[in-house]
Amino acid sequence: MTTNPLVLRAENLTKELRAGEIVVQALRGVSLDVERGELLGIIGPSGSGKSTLLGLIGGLDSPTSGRIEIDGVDITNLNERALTRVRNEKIGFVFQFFNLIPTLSALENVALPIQFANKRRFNPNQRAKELLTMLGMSDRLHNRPTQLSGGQQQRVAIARALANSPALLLCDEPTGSLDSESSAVVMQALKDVQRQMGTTVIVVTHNMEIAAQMDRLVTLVDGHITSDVEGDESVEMAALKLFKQKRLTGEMSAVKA
Amino acid sequence: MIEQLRFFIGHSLNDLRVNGRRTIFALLCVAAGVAAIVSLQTLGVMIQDTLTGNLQATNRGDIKGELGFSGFGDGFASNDPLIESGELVAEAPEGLIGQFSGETYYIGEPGLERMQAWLDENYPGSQLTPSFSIASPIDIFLGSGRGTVVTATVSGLAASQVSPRIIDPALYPFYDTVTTLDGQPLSAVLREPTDIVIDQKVAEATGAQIGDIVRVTDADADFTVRGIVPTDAEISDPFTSIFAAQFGFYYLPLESIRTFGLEPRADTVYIKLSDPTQVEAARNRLERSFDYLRYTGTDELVEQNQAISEQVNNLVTILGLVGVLLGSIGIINTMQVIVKRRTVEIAVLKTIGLQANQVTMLFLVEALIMGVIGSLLGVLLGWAMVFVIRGVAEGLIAQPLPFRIALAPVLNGVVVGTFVTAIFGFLPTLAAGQVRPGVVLRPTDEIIPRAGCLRTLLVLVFIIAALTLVVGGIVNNWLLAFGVTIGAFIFAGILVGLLNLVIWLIGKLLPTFGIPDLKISLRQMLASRGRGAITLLALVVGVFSLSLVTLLAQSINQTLDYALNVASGGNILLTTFSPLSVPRVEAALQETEGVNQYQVVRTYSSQIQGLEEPGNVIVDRQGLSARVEANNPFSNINFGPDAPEDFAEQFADSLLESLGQITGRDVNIPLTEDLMAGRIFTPADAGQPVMVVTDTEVITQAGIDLGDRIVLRFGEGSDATEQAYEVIGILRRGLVNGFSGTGNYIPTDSLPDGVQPENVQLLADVQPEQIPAVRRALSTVPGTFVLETAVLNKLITALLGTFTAFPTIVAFLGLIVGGIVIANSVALATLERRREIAVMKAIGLQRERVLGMLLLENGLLGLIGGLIGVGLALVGLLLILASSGGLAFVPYGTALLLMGLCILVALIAAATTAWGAAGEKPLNVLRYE
Repeated sequence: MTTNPLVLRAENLTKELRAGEIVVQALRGVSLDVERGELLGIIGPSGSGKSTLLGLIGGLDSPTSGRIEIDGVDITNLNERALTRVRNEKIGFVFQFFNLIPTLSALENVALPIQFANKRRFNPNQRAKELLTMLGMSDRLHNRPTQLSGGQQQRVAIARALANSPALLLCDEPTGSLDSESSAVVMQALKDVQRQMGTTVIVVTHNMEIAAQMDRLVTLVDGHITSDVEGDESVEMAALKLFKQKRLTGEMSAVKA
Repeated sequence: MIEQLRFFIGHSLNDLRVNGRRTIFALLCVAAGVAAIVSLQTLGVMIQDTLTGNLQATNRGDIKGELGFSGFGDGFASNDPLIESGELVAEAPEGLIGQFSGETYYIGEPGLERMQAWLDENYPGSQLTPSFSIASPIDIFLGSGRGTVVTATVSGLAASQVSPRIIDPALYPFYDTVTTLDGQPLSAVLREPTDIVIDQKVAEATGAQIGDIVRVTDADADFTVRGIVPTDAEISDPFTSIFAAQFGFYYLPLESIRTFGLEPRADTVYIKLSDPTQVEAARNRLERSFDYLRYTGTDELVEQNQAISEQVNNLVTILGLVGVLLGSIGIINTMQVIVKRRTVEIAVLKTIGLQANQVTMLFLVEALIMGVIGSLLGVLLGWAMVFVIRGVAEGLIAQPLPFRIALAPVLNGVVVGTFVTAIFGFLPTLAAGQVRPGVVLRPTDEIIPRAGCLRTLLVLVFIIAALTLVVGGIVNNWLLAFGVTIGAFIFAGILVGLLNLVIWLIGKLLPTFGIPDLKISLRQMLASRGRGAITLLALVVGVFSLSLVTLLAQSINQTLDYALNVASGGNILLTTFSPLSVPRVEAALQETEGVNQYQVVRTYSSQIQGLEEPGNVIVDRQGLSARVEANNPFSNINFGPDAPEDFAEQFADSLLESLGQITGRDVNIPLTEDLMAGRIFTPADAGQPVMVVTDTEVITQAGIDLGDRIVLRFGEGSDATEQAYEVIGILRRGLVNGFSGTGNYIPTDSLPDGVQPENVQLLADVQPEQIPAVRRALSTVPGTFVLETAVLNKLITALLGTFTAFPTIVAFLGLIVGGIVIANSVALATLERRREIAVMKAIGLQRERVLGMLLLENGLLGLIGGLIGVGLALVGLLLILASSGGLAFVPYGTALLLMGLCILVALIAAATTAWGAAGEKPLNVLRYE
C-alpha cells in the first residue's frame, strides 16, 4: 500500500546488450515502483543487471522494451536532448569513482549543474555553498579534487548530484572506493539527504553493510527481480540488520553478496 | 626472438586497430610531413627533368646569340667597320637629344650572311635562323573578321605589353615544334607576309578568332590571324619570357618586317649545329668572332640548370623535413597518451615477466608501424599534392612540368618519416619501460610514466645526433648540420617555453565572465599547457611562414598600388623618344575625350654646387660631399683590397649627383605624393626658384632642410648657368618615387633660359573606359610609348604572385600540418577526457555544449597561435619595411584575416575530432572506461 506519490515507475523493462555477435539479456522484464522519499537499495551479484537498471532509470540509456516514468514524465522514448534535460533537472548521479571535474574546485563542481540548467532555479554559488556546508565540507570549498580525500570527494559528488534539487538521486556503488570510515560518512550524508530534503535515493551496492541501512531492498539476479523487501516487515531485512549489528560489535567479518 | 617480434607486431597492430580514431590522426601527422617531403621532392625532380631534359628546345637551338638590352649608346661609332659594312644596323630615332641620343643596333642582313658563311666554313651543315622583336612599342588592335573594329575593351590593358616574335617559320624553332591548337606547324600557317599567329592569352583577351583581321601599330598593312598557339609554346627562362607568359605574344613571318618600313634585321640568332657535341667549342669561337652578341649554349645551360635544380632539391628537402618535424609533434603527443593510457597493461605485462627493455621495444614497434604506415599514406598524399602545386611551379619556371613518379622522393619520405617517428616516439616508449607495476595497479592513483632525467637527456642527445645525420646528409656539411639542429632545438625550446608562459598567462588572467564553459576551457588549457605549447609550436610555424609571405607580398602590392595610382598623379605615362613629338602628343590628348588632365614632366640634369643655409651659412660642394661621406653608413665598410682608396668619397659624390637630377612641374597641378614637411607648389610659385625634394638618404645625410637653398648648375663650360632653389617642401619617400619624375621638383618656368630637358614624359589622368581611345589616338605619333599604371601594377602583381606562390604553398603545407597536429591533439585530449565528458553529459550538458566547450578551448589555442604567428610576421614585416625605408603600407586587414584563418584551422581540426567525442553515450564510457 503506497501513500506517497511515485517518483519512479518502471514497467517490464528489458535490455539487450550487444558485443559483436553476442547478445546479452541484461534485464528480463523488470518492474519497479519507487515512492518519493524512499531509500532503496539494489543488490545482486556481478552481471545481474544492477548498473544497467540504474542507467535506464537515469536516462543514460534506453530500454529495449518496457516503459520508464520519472516524476510523472515518461522518458522511454525521449531523444538524447530531452533526456539530457531530464537528467539535469530531475536526476542526480553519484558514481563509485566520484568523477569530479579535476580542473574545478569543490564549489565550482557543485555549481556546474545549476549553471548548465536550462532554467536556473538557484543561485549557483549560494546553492553550492549551502549543500557543501550541509555535507560538512564548508572548509573545503575551494579545494580541487586532488586536494580532497576519497570520502570528501564523494560528498562533493553528492552535493553536485543534489544541486538542482532532483526528485531522484542515483548512486552506483557510492562507497565502493572508500574505506569503512569514509563509507560511514558518505552513507550518513545520503541518509541525511533523504530525510532532510525528502529526496528519493536509489543505491546500487555489493556491500551488505550498506544494504542493511536501506529502507527497502531489491535483489536482482540474472536480470530478474528476485526479491523486493521493505523495512522491518521482512525476515531478510531483519537478518541483514542483525548481520550489520554483529559486524559492528566484531562478532562477524565482512561478507559480500 | 622472431616469436617475440611477432608478438610485438601483432599486439601493436591490434592496439592501433582497436583505437582507430587515435591511430588515424597519428598516422595523418606522419603522413602530412611525409607528404610535404614527397610532393616537394617529386616537384624538384620534375623541375630537374624539365630544366636539364630538353635544353635544345628551351634554348631554341644549340646556341642562342642576343644583342640583349644594351641597345642604347654602347660604344659603336658611326665609322665602326661593323656599321660601315652593314653587319650591324644603327638607327637613331629622330630628334633625340642629350645623353639619350644613343643609337639602337640590330644585326643587318650582311651580318646574318657573314655568320652563316662562318658556320658553313667552320661547322658545315649547321643552320642559323634570326628572330626580331620590334624595338618600338606595338599596340595590337583587333577587328573581327566581319569588319567591326574592336578597340574599347578588346585591346585592353595588356595590349602594349604583348610580345612580338618575328621569325622564319620554316626554321624556327630548330628543336621541338610550335603547333597551333588545331595541330598545324608555324610553317603551315605563316605563309604570307601579312599572316599572324597569336597565342591563347591574346586570343582570350581580345576574342580574336582565326580569320580575323588585325592591325599592328606602325605596320602599313593589316594582318590575318592564321592560327592560335598555346601560351606555353614560347618557352624560355622565366625572367625574359615573363611578359610573354603574362600578356601573351604573337608570331609574324620574317618577310612582314617590310610592312613596318624596315629592312630585314635581327636582334637574336638561333644556331643549330650539325654536331651538337661541339657546342662549347663553337660558342667560344663565336664569342671571339662575333663579339657583339651575348651567347647562351646548351652546355652552359646544363651546368646552370643542374646547379639550380640541386639548390631547389636541397631547399625542398629541408622544407619537407621541417614538415616532418612538425608532424612528429603529433607522434610525441600520441605516444605519450598511448603510454599513459596503457600503464595498467604495461604493469600487467611486467608482472608476468616482461623486461623494461622489452616493454620499450613493444611500444617502439608500435611507433615504427605508425611511422611506416603513416609514411606510405604520406607518399600517396604527396603525389596527390603534386598535382595541386605543379601549376605554381610551372608559373615559376614558365615551363610545363609533366608528372612522373620518382623513386628517390618516395624512399626519402618513407625513411625520414619512419626514422623521425621512431626517434620522437622513443622518449615516451622509454618512459613506458620504467612503469612500476606495484604503483600502477592501485586503481585510484593516476600514474604518469616518466623516463627519468638521465635517460631523457641521453635520448635528447640521440635525437640531436640523428637529426644532425639527416640534415648533414642533405646539406653535406656536418658542422652546419649540427649547428642548425642545435639552433633549431634551442629556438623551438625557447618558443615552447614562451608559448607555455602565454597559455599560463591567458589561463590565469582572462576573465571568465561567469561562463562555466569558458572557465572549464581555460582550466583545461592550463592543465595541459605542456602539450598545448608544443601543439601550438606546429601551428605557429605554419601561420608565421604563411603570414610573412602573404603580408610582405601584399604590403609591396599596396604600396606600389598607392605609388602608381595615387602618388603618380595619373594613370597613363607617356614616354616619347623626341621632345619634338610632345606637341603632337599634347594635341592628341586634347582632342581625345575622357582625358581629365595631363602634364608634361621634364627631367633636367644639373650639378649641385653647394648649399646656402639660413643665416648665410654657405656649404660648398666639397663640404656637402664631406657631410654625406661622414653620415653615410657605407663609408666605414671595407669593400676589400680592390676598392679604390677614395671609394667613400666617390660614393658620396655620386649620391650628391643624384640630387642634380630634377624634374620640372606645372605648379598649377598639385603634387600628389605624401607631404612630410613644408608645402607643395601653389600657382604663386610660377617662375619662382623654389624646390620640393623627397626625403631620400642623401637629403638627410647632406643635412638639407626647409629654407635651405640648393645651388644648381645647368650646362657645361661657358654656357653653364647657376640657379639657387629654396627648399619649400619635403615629400615622404616611397618605394617607387621617381615614377613621375626624379622626386626633386621645381617649377618648369623657373629654369634659366636655354636649359634643355634630358627626358620628357607626359602624365595623363584618363577615364579608364577611354584609355583604348587614347591609345588609338597616340598610335599615330611615332616613337610614343604608352604605359598604363594599371598594366605595370598588374605585371608587378603577377610577378609577385609568381615568386610568392611557391613559398606560399610551402607555408600553407606547414599550416595544414599544424592543423593536423591540433586535430591529433584534440583527439588525444578527448580520449583522455572521455570520462569527464561523460560525467558532464550525465549531469545535464547537451552534446552541442560539450562540443562548444572543446571548440572554445581549441579556438583559444588557435587565437594564441594566430596572435603569435601573425604578430611575429608583422614584426618581421615592419623590420623589413623599416630597413628598406620610406612610405609603405602594412596590410593589417590581411593580418586579421590570417588570424581568422588560424582560428578556423584550429576549429576545423578540433571539430573533426570533437564531434564524435561529444556525442558518445555517457553510459558506455562510465561502464567501460
